[in-house]
Amino acid sequence: MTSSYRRIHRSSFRDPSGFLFETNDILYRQVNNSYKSHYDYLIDSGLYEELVALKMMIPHQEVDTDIAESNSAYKVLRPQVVKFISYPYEWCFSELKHAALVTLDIQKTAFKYGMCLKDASAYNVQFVDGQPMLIDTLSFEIYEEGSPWVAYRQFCQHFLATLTLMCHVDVRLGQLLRVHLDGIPLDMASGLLPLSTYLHFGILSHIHLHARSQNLFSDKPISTANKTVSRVALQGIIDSLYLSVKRLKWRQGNTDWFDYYSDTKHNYSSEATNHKKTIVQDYIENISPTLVWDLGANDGTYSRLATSQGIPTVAFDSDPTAVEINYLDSISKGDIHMMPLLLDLTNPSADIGWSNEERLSLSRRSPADLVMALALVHHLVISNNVPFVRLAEWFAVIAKSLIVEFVPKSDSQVARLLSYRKDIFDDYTRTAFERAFDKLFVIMKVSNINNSNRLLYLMQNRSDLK
Amino acid sequence: MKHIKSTIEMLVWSVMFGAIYVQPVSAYLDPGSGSLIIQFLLASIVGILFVIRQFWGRIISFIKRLVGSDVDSDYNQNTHRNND
Repeated sequence: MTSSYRRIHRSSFRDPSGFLFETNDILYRQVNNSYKSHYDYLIDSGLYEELVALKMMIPHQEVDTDIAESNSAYKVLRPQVVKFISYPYEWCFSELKHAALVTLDIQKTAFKYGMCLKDASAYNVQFVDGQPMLIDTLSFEIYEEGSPWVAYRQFCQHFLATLTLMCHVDVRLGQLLRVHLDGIPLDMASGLLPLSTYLHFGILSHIHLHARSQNLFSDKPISTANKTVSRVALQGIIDSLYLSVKRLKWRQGNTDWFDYYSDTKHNYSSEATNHKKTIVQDYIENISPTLVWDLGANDGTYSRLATSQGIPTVAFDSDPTAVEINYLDSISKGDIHMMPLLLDLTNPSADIGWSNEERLSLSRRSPADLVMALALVHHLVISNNVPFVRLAEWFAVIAKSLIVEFVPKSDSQVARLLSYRKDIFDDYTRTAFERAFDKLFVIMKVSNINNSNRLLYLMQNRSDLK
Repeated sequence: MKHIKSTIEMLVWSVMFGAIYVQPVSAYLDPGSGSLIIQFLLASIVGILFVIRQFWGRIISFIKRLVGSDVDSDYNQNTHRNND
């Protein structure tokens, strides 16, 4: 008990089986005595070992219980660190789909060992080295013959309803998870889905009829008689959910950003592109970051300059198609360091959930060692009217080092942004840009990109130099 | 009218399902009575479909082994990432 800093994790309070806490920046999970039999079964049965070997679950080490937060501790675990915590409302369609499939695979595997998932929250899955993995060691319970799947409602709300809406209505409906933290209410999903989905057995039963059943029986006392769900029936429910999820396919729609690189090729020569890559590569090597955030990453073209060096990189973009393409491309290239995420920089993820502390804002998950903002500033300043000073202030919160591209008014992309609106941006100059950033960052390097008027800066946060 | 319709619908479900029983479940999550009932209702249908699928899967994999083709190339069990 020599620690100088201890804190119980603010999102870890629902499950009485245990909780997360931090001591001196090291994350631990306390397993309470009430969970003893289930935890021992998880370990002794070999289930834990198999799930870790299959990369379905993060590994942990058991440490001395002296460090425990309370006297109800049976064990204290030190789980593998997840470099960047992301949330389901930041995932593209296929990321959510793969998280759903791994959840069901875990349930199937657990069932072979006589255990069951007692929850199926999408927040229990995180992407580690490109793999969706269960991070909650306490999600298992010993299976009791005849019992239904208690996590069924949660799985349908967190995964199936969301994916079905994204597939059959609009991929942007995944954003409903920002409002509905316990998943999309099934009556809402059922009402939004087209009638044609009644022809899909899985969607009909797990969403439409499920929603109807919830509405009918939610507030009614129900008479009892012996009724159970047999082992085969439970496997059938999991199998049916698995097939329903697997059949949902991502459909590419028309989006603004994904054609960006092809559209700008006439403006941005291959020489300029190659020179820009060389400069960015040089800047990354100069910083040697352990984590990179690429803001406005599009399909991850420049994020790959970092991932190719083995640096974990979060590639944010507001276009679901760009994020989807980047994710699928990363899988096909075996790029395990890429973490594509959906994020609108003009309205980044906020602190939400119970007491605004369950799911953290982007700023509270920062700072990153290196933030890249390439071909982004002109969009934020001109399309969203963000002054340079405000931009520099936010970057100073989230970045220790910064690679930022300044695109002057003479560039055709800026001219395009100004073509349908009055130019009220008299201060949109290199001098004003440098003045705003110089207050918070030290400008380490500036490079002209060949065959263009664009400039690339490497900056270091002044607060980090103290 | 709406109340009568809802009551009739509940009765129909009850008849389809037989005697409804929601067993108290010792879980920290609220499984939801409606979500338990739909599981009981689906149980026999999906159970039968599951058995048929298992049986059918064995026949298909037996045939695939005979002709020497890959049994399941669509989904990568080792990476859990499906490139579809």
